[in-house]
Amino acid sequence: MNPELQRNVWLEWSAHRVLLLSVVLASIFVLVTLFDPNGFGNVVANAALSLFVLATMIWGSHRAGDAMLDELRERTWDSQRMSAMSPWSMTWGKLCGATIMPWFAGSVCLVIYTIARFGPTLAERLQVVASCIAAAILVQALSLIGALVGTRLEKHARSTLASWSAVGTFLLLLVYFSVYYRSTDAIVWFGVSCDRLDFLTASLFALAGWTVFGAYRMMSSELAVATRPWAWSAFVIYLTIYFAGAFIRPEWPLNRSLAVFGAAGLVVAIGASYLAAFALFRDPLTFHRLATYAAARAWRRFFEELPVWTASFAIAVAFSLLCAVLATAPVYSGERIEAVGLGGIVIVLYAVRNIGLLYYFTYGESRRRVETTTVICIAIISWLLPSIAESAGLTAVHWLLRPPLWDHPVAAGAIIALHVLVVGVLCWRRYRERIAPAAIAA
Amino acid sequence: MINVNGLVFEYPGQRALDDVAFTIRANSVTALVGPNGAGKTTLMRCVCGLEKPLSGAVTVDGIDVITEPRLSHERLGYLSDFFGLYDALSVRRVLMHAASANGSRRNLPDAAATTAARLGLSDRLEQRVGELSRGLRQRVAIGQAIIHEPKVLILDEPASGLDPEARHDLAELFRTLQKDGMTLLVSSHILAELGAYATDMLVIRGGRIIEQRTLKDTAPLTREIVMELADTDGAVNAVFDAFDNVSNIRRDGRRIRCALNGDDDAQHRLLRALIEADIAVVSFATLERDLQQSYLESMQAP
Repeated sequence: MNPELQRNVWLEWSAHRVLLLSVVLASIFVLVTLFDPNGFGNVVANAALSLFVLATMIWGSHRAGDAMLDELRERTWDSQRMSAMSPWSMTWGKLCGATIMPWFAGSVCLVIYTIARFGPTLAERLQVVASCIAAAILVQALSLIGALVGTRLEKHARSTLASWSAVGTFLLLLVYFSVYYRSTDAIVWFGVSCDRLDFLTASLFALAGWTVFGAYRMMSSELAVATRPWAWSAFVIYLTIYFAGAFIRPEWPLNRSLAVFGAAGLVVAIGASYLAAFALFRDPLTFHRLATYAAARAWRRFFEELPVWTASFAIAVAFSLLCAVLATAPVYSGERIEAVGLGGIVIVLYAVRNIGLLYYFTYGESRRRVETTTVICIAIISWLLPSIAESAGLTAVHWLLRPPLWDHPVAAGAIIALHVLVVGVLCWRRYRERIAPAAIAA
Repeated sequence: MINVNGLVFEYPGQRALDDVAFTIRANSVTALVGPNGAGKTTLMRCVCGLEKPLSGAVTVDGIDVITEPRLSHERLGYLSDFFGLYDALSVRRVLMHAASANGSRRNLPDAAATTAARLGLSDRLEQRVGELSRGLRQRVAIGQAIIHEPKVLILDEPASGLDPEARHDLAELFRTLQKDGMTLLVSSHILAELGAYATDMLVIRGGRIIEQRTLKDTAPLTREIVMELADTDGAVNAVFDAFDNVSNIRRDGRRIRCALNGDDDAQHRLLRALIEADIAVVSFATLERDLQQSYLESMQAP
C-alpha cells in the first residue's frame, strides 16, 4: 500500500468517525424527504448534490491543503522529503488519503443523487456524477497546489495564499456552473458542434487531469526531483488551443485564424507568466545560479533552474512576433482581437517591466508582501500618475507613463523599452548590493 | 562512503559553504564541529539532498545526491535538530510508516518491533508519540531514521535537551550502529560526548572545512608528553638534546611538556634516559588529545 495513503488512513479513518458521519448524512436525507411534499425525489437529489459540494469541495479541499500544511506545522516535512517515495506516490497518497472521509460522505451523496433524481436518463445522471467527481478532484488538487506553493512562503503568507486559493476556486466553479446553466445551446469549437454538457464534462476532466499533473510536478520540485518547465509550456499551449477554438471558424482564411490564435495565445501566455511570477516562490539567487550553470555549460541544470514563468513568457514572445508578422499580411482584418499587430510586442515589454519590478522588490531588504507592493507600484505608474497627468493636461508626462498602445504601437514600444531599461538598471544595482555580494566577491 | 567536492551554497548576500571538500570513510563516526553559524546544518542538509547547492558534487555510497536524491535516500537516514514526528500516531505506526516510505523491503511489523527493541521502546509500541517524553521521542526519531537500515546516518545535534543518562544511552547506541557497519556523521556542541564515540573529526568555520582529523583507530605519530619534576633541574635539557624526535619543549616551573615523534617504545626510551640521568621525575604521561582539545587547536589555528 502507498505509505502516504496508509498514514492518512490511519489518521483519518476510524469506525466511530464513519458511524458518526453516516448518522449525520442519514438524518439530513430523512429530514429533507420528510419536509418535501413529493417525498424521495428531486429535492433530495439537489440536497445530495449540495452536500457533495460541501463535503468534497469545501471540506475535501481544506483537507487536501492541510495534508501539506500539517506537515509544515508539525515539522515532519523534512522526514517526508528524506523518504524514498516517488513524487507521484506522495501526490496521490495525499490527495486520496487526506480526503478519505470527505470522499466517503461525497460517495454516499452521489449514490443518493443517482437514485433520487427523476427526469434525466441514467446515462445523463451518471454524467452529472462524473462531472461532480472531476470538479471535486480539480478543487482538491488546486488546494494541494496552493499548499505546495505555500511551503516556500512565510507562515502568514501561507494562510493568505490558502484564502486566495479558496476564493479563486470558488470563482472558477461559479463561472463553470454559470456557463453550464446559462444556455442549452450546443458549443461550437473549431467549427464542430458539441453537446454543451458533454463539452463541459470533457473540459472539466481535462482540467482536473492538468491540475493533478500540476500537483505532481510541484511535488517533484518540492522533493528535489529535477524538473524542467516544459509542463507549464504544454499547459499554456493547451489553454491557447482550448480558448482559440471558441473563436476560430474553419471557413476563415489561414491568416485570420492564425491572427486569432496568436492573440489568444498571447493573452493566455502573458496571463500565465504573471501568475507564475507572482504566485510561485522566487529564489533571489535564481539568476546567479543560472549564470553559474551557463558559465559551466551545465545546460541540464540551467534548464532545471529556470523559473516557471520564463517558459510561458517565451511562448508569449513567440505569439507576439506572430501577431507582429501577421500585421503585415495582405489579408488583415481591422478587428481588435485579430489585429493585435505590434501591440503584442508592447504587451510583452510591459510584462518584462512589471516582472522586473517584482524582482526589484524581491531583492529588497524585506521580502514580506513583495507582491502587494509590486501591484501597488504598477497601479501608481500605469494608472494613477498617468490619470493625474492627463487631467492636468500634461500630455507628454501622460505619454511617458502610459503611451497609447493601439494608436502608436511603435512609440509606445520605445517608451516602455525605456521603462524596461530603467527597471533593469535598478534591479541590477540592488542585486549587486544585497543579493550576491559574496558571490561577486568570490 | 560520503564524498563532497567543491560544494558551494549561498544564501542571499552570504556564502554559507565555500568550496567544501572532504571524504568520509565507511564505518566511521565523524564529528562535525564548528561554531554557531559555521554551516554545519547547511552542510548536512546538502549531503542529504534537502538543499540544492550552487555548485559542487555530493555522492553517498556512489550515488549522486543532487541528481538522484530519492535513490540516495534509501541509503541515508537523517535526524534533524527537531524530531519531526507524527504525534497522533502510535510508535509502531510511526516506525512502520518510516520503513515503508524509505523503501524497506523488510516485513513492516517485524521491522518496527526489531527497531523498537534496539532502542528500548518495545513497551511503548502502542503509545502515541505525542505522549512520550523528549528522550523517548528522540529515540523514536532515531528509529525512524534507521529502520530502513541505511548505510549512512546523519544526525544534527542529536543530544540537545537530553538528560545525562539519555546521552549515555545515545552514545552506546551510536557505538552499536557503528559496530553494525553504519557510517555516522554527527554534529553537536557537546564535544566531550562526541569524543566518546567519534573516530574522526571534521572542523568547519565560516563555511570552509579547516581540518579533517582521525581521532581513533590509528595510533598518532606525534604524542604530547607531560612530565613533572621534583625540582627545576637544568640537566633535563641535555637528555632532550640526545633525542632527535623530541621537539616543542615548553617549561612551566617544574612542569614540562614536549612533543615526541614515535611510538610506545620511543616513549619508554625517553623515560629510561631521564631516570638513568638521575632526573627526579615525579610523573610522566602522554596527554590524551580529546575531541575538545583537537577542536580548540583547530579553532586557534590561523
